[in-house]
Amino acid sequence: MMPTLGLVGIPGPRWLPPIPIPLFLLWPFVLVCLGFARLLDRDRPAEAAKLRTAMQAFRELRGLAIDVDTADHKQVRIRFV
Amino acid sequence: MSSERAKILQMVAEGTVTAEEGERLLGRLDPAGTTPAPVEAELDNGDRKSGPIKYLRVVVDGGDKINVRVPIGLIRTGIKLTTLMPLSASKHLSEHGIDLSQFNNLDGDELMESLRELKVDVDSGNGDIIRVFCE
Repeated sequence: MMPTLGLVGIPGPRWLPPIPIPLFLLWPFVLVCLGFARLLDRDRPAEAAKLRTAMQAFRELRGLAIDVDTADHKQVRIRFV
Repeated sequence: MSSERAKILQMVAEGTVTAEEGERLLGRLDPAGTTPAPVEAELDNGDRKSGPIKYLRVVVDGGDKINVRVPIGLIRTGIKLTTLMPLSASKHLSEHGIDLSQFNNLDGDELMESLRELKVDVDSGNGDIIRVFCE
Protein backbone atom coordinates (compact mmCIF):
# COMPACT_ATOMS: atom_id res chain seq x y z
CA MET A 1 0.00 0.00 0.00
CA MET A 2 1.52 3.30 -1.03
CA PRO A 3 1.68 6.20 1.42
CA THR A 4 -0.93 8.89 0.88
CA LEU A 5 0.50 11.70 2.96
CA GLY A 6 3.66 12.64 4.74
CA LEU A 7 2.84 14.69 7.82
CA VAL A 8 5.45 16.93 9.41
CA GLY A 9 4.35 18.57 12.64
CA ILE A 10 6.24 20.92 14.90
CA PRO A 11 4.16 21.18 18.07
CA GLY A 12 5.22 23.32 20.99
CA PRO A 13 4.60 26.80 22.39
CA ARG A 14 4.62 28.23 18.88
CA TRP A 15 2.67 25.41 17.43
CA LEU A 16 2.61 24.82 13.72
CA PRO A 17 -0.05 22.52 12.35
CA PRO A 18 1.16 19.34 10.70
CA ILE A 19 2.23 20.08 7.17
CA PRO A 20 0.81 17.48 4.83
CA ILE A 21 3.02 16.43 1.95
CA PRO A 22 0.79 14.95 -0.72
CA LEU A 23 2.62 11.76 -1.52
CA PHE A 24 -0.30 10.49 -3.53
CA LEU A 25 0.80 12.93 -6.23
CA LEU A 26 3.83 10.69 -6.67
CA TRP A 27 1.75 7.63 -7.43
CA PRO A 28 1.72 8.27 -11.20
CA PHE A 29 5.49 8.71 -11.05
CA VAL A 30 5.82 5.33 -9.35
CA LEU A 31 3.65 3.69 -11.98
CA VAL A 32 5.72 5.30 -14.75
CA CYS A 33 8.93 4.06 -13.09
CA LEU A 34 7.52 0.56 -12.88
CA GLY A 35 6.62 0.82 -16.55
CA PHE A 36 10.19 1.85 -17.33
CA ALA A 37 11.44 -1.07 -15.29
CA ARG A 38 9.35 -3.39 -17.40
CA LEU A 39 10.83 -1.89 -20.57
CA LEU A 40 14.34 -2.16 -19.18
CA ASP A 41 13.86 -5.79 -18.19
CA ARG A 42 15.04 -7.18 -21.50
CA ASP A 43 18.20 -5.14 -22.05
CA ARG A 44 19.20 -3.97 -18.59
CA PRO A 45 17.68 -6.30 -15.97
CA ALA A 46 19.98 -5.12 -13.18
CA GLU A 47 18.88 -1.50 -13.55
CA ALA A 48 15.27 -2.59 -13.82
CA ALA A 49 15.57 -4.50 -10.54
CA LYS A 50 17.09 -1.46 -8.83
CA LEU A 51 14.28 0.74 -10.06
CA ARG A 52 11.71 -1.72 -8.76
CA THR A 53 13.46 -1.86 -5.39
CA ALA A 54 13.43 1.92 -5.08
CA MET A 55 9.72 2.00 -5.87
CA GLN A 56 9.09 -0.79 -3.39
CA ALA A 57 10.87 1.22 -0.70
CA PHE A 58 8.55 4.13 -1.43
CA ARG A 59 5.55 1.86 -1.01
CA GLU A 60 6.82 0.60 2.33
CA LEU A 61 7.15 4.11 3.76
CA ARG A 62 3.58 3.91 4.98
CA GLY A 63 3.64 3.50 8.76
CA LEU A 64 7.02 5.12 9.30
CA ALA A 65 6.87 7.43 12.32
CA ILE A 66 9.56 9.57 13.87
CA ASP A 67 8.95 11.56 17.07
CA VAL A 68 11.66 13.73 18.53
CA ASP A 69 11.36 15.70 21.78
CA THR A 70 14.59 17.48 22.54
CA ALA A 71 15.74 18.46 26.00
CA ASP A 72 15.18 22.13 25.15
CA HIS A 73 11.51 21.41 24.42
CA LYS A 74 11.65 21.32 20.66
CA GLN A 75 9.44 18.74 19.09
CA VAL A 76 9.20 17.24 15.65
CA ARG A 77 6.70 14.69 14.42
CA ILE A 78 7.00 12.95 11.10
CA ARG A 79 4.40 10.44 9.92
CA PHE A 80 3.78 8.62 6.71
CA VAL A 81 0.17 7.56 6.40
CA MET B 1 -1.38 -31.85 38.81
CA SER B 2 -0.43 -35.29 37.56
CA SER B 3 -1.37 -38.43 39.50
CA GLU B 4 2.31 -39.28 40.08
CA ARG B 5 2.97 -35.90 41.62
CA ALA B 6 -0.13 -36.17 43.82
CA LYS B 7 0.91 -39.62 44.93
CA ILE B 8 4.39 -38.45 45.94
CA LEU B 9 2.97 -35.51 47.87
CA GLN B 10 0.55 -37.85 49.61
CA MET B 11 3.44 -40.17 50.56
CA VAL B 12 5.32 -37.20 52.01
CA ALA B 13 2.23 -36.13 53.92
CA GLU B 14 1.73 -39.63 55.31
CA GLY B 15 5.37 -39.87 56.28
CA THR B 16 6.00 -42.86 53.99
CA VAL B 17 8.93 -40.96 52.47
CA THR B 18 10.90 -38.05 53.84
CA ALA B 19 10.58 -34.54 52.42
CA GLU B 20 14.04 -34.85 50.81
CA GLU B 21 13.09 -38.11 49.12
CA GLY B 22 9.84 -36.58 47.98
CA GLU B 23 11.71 -33.62 46.50
CA ARG B 24 14.08 -35.98 44.71
CA LEU B 25 11.17 -37.98 43.32
CA LEU B 26 9.44 -34.82 42.14
CA GLY B 27 12.67 -33.75 40.51
CA ARG B 28 12.72 -36.99 38.56
CA LEU B 29 9.26 -36.23 37.28
CA ASP B 30 10.27 -32.85 35.89
CA PRO B 31 12.12 -34.16 32.81
CA ALA B 32 8.89 -35.88 31.81
CA GLY B 33 7.36 -32.51 31.30
CA THR B 34 5.28 -31.98 34.43
CA THR B 35 7.00 -28.65 35.01
CA PRO B 36 6.19 -26.01 32.41
CA ALA B 37 9.06 -25.40 30.04
CA PRO B 38 10.50 -21.87 30.16
CA VAL B 39 8.78 -20.92 26.94
CA GLU B 40 5.44 -22.18 28.17
CA ALA B 41 5.94 -20.35 31.43
CA GLU B 42 6.64 -17.21 29.48
CA LEU B 43 3.47 -17.71 27.50
CA ASP B 44 1.52 -18.06 30.72
CA ASN B 45 2.75 -14.62 31.68
CA GLY B 46 1.21 -13.21 28.52
CA ASP B 47 4.52 -12.52 26.82
CA ARG B 48 3.68 -14.65 23.86
CA LYS B 49 5.66 -13.57 20.81
CA SER B 50 3.58 -14.91 18.01
CA GLY B 51 2.39 -13.56 14.71
CA PRO B 52 4.31 -11.46 12.27
CA ILE B 53 6.32 -8.52 13.51
CA LYS B 54 5.29 -5.23 11.98
CA TYR B 55 7.63 -2.54 13.25
CA LEU B 56 11.15 -2.00 14.41
CA ARG B 57 11.05 0.42 17.31
CA VAL B 58 13.87 2.62 18.51
CA VAL B 59 13.10 4.45 21.74
CA VAL B 60 15.52 6.87 23.34
CA ASP B 61 14.69 8.29 26.74
CA GLY B 62 16.68 10.64 28.88
CA GLY B 63 17.67 14.14 27.82
CA ASP B 64 16.17 13.94 24.34
CA LYS B 65 13.22 11.70 23.70
CA ILE B 66 13.17 9.95 20.37
CA ASN B 67 10.59 7.47 19.24
CA VAL B 68 11.06 5.86 15.83
CA ARG B 69 8.80 3.26 14.31
CA VAL B 70 10.06 1.70 11.10
CA PRO B 71 7.84 -0.69 9.14
CA ILE B 72 9.48 -4.06 8.75
CA GLY B 73 8.68 -4.01 5.04
CA LEU B 74 10.82 -0.92 4.68
CA ILE B 75 13.75 -2.68 6.33
CA ARG B 76 13.32 -5.70 4.09
CA THR B 77 13.32 -3.48 1.03
CA GLY B 78 15.95 -1.18 2.45
CA ILE B 79 18.43 -4.01 2.61
CA LYS B 80 18.01 -4.52 -1.08
CA LEU B 81 18.68 -0.82 -1.55
CA THR B 82 22.31 -1.46 -0.71
CA THR B 83 22.58 -2.63 -4.29
CA LEU B 84 21.89 0.96 -5.33
CA MET B 85 24.98 2.16 -3.53
CA PRO B 86 27.65 3.49 -5.89
CA LEU B 87 30.62 1.21 -6.39
CA SER B 88 33.01 3.86 -5.09
CA ALA B 89 31.05 4.13 -1.84
CA SER B 90 31.08 0.35 -1.42
CA LYS B 91 34.84 0.31 -1.93
CA HIS B 92 35.29 3.07 0.62
CA LEU B 93 33.22 1.13 3.16
CA SER B 94 35.09 -2.10 2.51
CA GLU B 95 38.35 -0.28 3.27
CA HIS B 96 36.91 0.24 6.74
CA GLY B 97 35.90 -3.39 7.04
CA ILE B 98 32.20 -2.86 6.30
CA ASP B 99 30.78 -5.22 3.74
CA LEU B 100 27.16 -4.41 3.05
CA SER B 101 26.92 -7.05 0.36
CA GLN B 102 26.44 -9.57 3.15
CA PHE B 103 22.96 -8.17 3.66
CA ASN B 104 21.97 -9.34 0.20
CA ASN B 105 22.53 -12.93 1.29
CA LEU B 106 19.98 -12.65 4.07
CA ASP B 107 16.86 -14.62 3.44
CA GLY B 108 13.64 -12.72 4.17
CA ASP B 109 12.28 -15.25 6.67
CA GLU B 110 15.66 -15.64 8.33
CA LEU B 111 15.86 -11.90 8.77
CA MET B 112 12.37 -11.74 10.25
CA GLU B 113 13.19 -14.47 12.75
CA SER B 114 16.37 -12.68 13.73
CA LEU B 115 14.56 -9.40 14.15
CA ARG B 116 11.87 -11.05 16.26
CA GLU B 117 14.49 -11.87 18.85
CA LEU B 118 16.21 -8.51 18.58
CA LYS B 119 16.29 -6.64 21.83
CA VAL B 120 18.84 -4.00 22.68
CA ASP B 121 18.77 -2.11 25.97
CA VAL B 122 21.40 0.52 26.63
CA ASP B 123 21.66 2.57 29.82
CA SER B 124 24.34 5.09 29.04
CA GLY B 125 26.40 6.96 31.56
CA ASN B 126 24.80 10.30 30.73
CA GLY B 127 21.36 8.99 31.64
CA ASP B 128 20.09 8.11 28.20
CA ILE B 129 18.15 4.88 27.91
CA ILE B 130 18.04 3.35 24.45
CA ARG B 131 15.82 0.46 23.55
CA VAL B 132 15.63 -1.28 20.18
CA PHE B 133 13.07 -3.98 19.65
CA CYS B 134 10.47 -5.31 17.25
CA GLU B 135 6.74 -5.47 17.80
